Amino acid sequence: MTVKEYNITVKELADPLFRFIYRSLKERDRANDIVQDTFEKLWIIVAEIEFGAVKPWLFRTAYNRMIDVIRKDSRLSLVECYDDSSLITEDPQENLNEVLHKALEKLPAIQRAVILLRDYEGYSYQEIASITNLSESQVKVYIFRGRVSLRRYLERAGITVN
Amino acid sequence: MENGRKNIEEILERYFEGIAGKSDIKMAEDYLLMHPEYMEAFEEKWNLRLERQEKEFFPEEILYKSFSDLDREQMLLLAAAAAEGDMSAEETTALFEAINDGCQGKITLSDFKNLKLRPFEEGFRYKSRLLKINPLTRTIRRGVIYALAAAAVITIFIISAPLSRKTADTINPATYVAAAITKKTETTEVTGSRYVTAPEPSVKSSEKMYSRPDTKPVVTEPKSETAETESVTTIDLSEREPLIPTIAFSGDIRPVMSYANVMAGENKLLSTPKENWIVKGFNGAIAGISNLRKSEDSFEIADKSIKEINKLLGWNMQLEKVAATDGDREAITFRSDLVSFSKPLKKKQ
Repeated sequence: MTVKEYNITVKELADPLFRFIYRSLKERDRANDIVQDTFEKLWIIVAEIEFGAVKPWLFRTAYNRMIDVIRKDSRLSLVECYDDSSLITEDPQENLNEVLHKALEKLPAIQRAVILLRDYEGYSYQEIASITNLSESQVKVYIFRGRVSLRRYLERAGITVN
Repeated sequence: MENGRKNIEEILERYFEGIAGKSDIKMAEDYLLMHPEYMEAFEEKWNLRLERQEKEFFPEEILYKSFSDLDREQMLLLAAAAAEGDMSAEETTALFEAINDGCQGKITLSDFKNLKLRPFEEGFRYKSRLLKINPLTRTIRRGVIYALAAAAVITIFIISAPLSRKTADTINPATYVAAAITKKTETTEVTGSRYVTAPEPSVKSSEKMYSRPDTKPVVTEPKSETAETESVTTIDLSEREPLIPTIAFSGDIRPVMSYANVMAGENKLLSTPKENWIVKGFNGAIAGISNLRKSEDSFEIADKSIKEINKLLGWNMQLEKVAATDGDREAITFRSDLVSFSKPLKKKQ
């Protein structure tokens, strides 16, 4: 990858990568740090990596870094239990996308990450599995369970989706 | 030969019946190993193969499941899978028919299709820090920055010169002294290297200021900073004579104002170059510009300013007026360590 390609990568992928990490981690400063670290790592191996393979590499590296952060921080949990009682919003008329993101924050980190990769980036199950080091079946299960949780949240909040 | 075959058949019969002796068992197994083609004939003869039982043990229908057998949680998971496009159209139709027929509550495909998240318009703020620039671009950028900085400083000098001169014209020397006295209300006695604070005089600080141009106050000369001998600086206030006192300090306190300078009407600051180099530099620049303003043009103002900037900041910038190649046409050339440019001047009419 050339310096020019690296700069293109920064311009095109820094924002999506930040959005993915920020929405997964829910902390802006840490998300900024992770994105910066990831691009620094990319710069170190810039001569070795192919331009076409850089996007999955970036997301995989950032995801692994995020998992490290979550494991170190006792406040965050990878597989915390889903508690939909805390999800009920007081204002059911809020924008659906905002409500969904609010509900997303209550999901376990892994479910959050796979749903974000699926919806934000449109990755296939196989690509998500490669990024998150899960099997394809696990990815499917996490996505389906996450969707059901989101729907249940809307249901309890009295929001009709269709 | 016939005897041999009969013999082996008998041995094999005893072998399959399980009544063969050790030597017969070994002989039978060796024979079957050497002649596997006889194995099938023997299996058939002795009815050793299991036959498939046609009889059904229980109705297999009880094992079949349909969507209606699924509970609501499973239905929801399947609906999510359908929304993700993981089920065929027939399976999806069958699923939702079953959902509608059963009492699983209302679930539609759009319930899940509308659960897709859309990214907000938020981005990584520090993208510019991650971008890499090549050395040429970096040099150009730095050059532009230095040039802009130089232009800004020159502009500041040009704008501030008349203001500074106006300020200098209106400064009353006594103001400095009053300020100095107000700041230091105590009279300081110098005894060797030790300071002794004298009693507070009965007059207020503001009363120390009088205007007496024809008489000189009775004060001692300022002591040098390194005075070793005992000497006392005193100010005679007994007759309330008009007074502009000299404040003399030793040790670490440096004199701020000289009586002689004050009386001469000069506003020279006597601080050390280390402390006031920038003030001196600016004063020099302003004075230079003020002197030039009467007779010189803008080029000389700029040239003088650049020279003063060089003195102040240690830069190496040059502004020159050179004759262009076409004779009387002139150009102004700016040179620095990083950038240089030339601007031709318009011909004079």
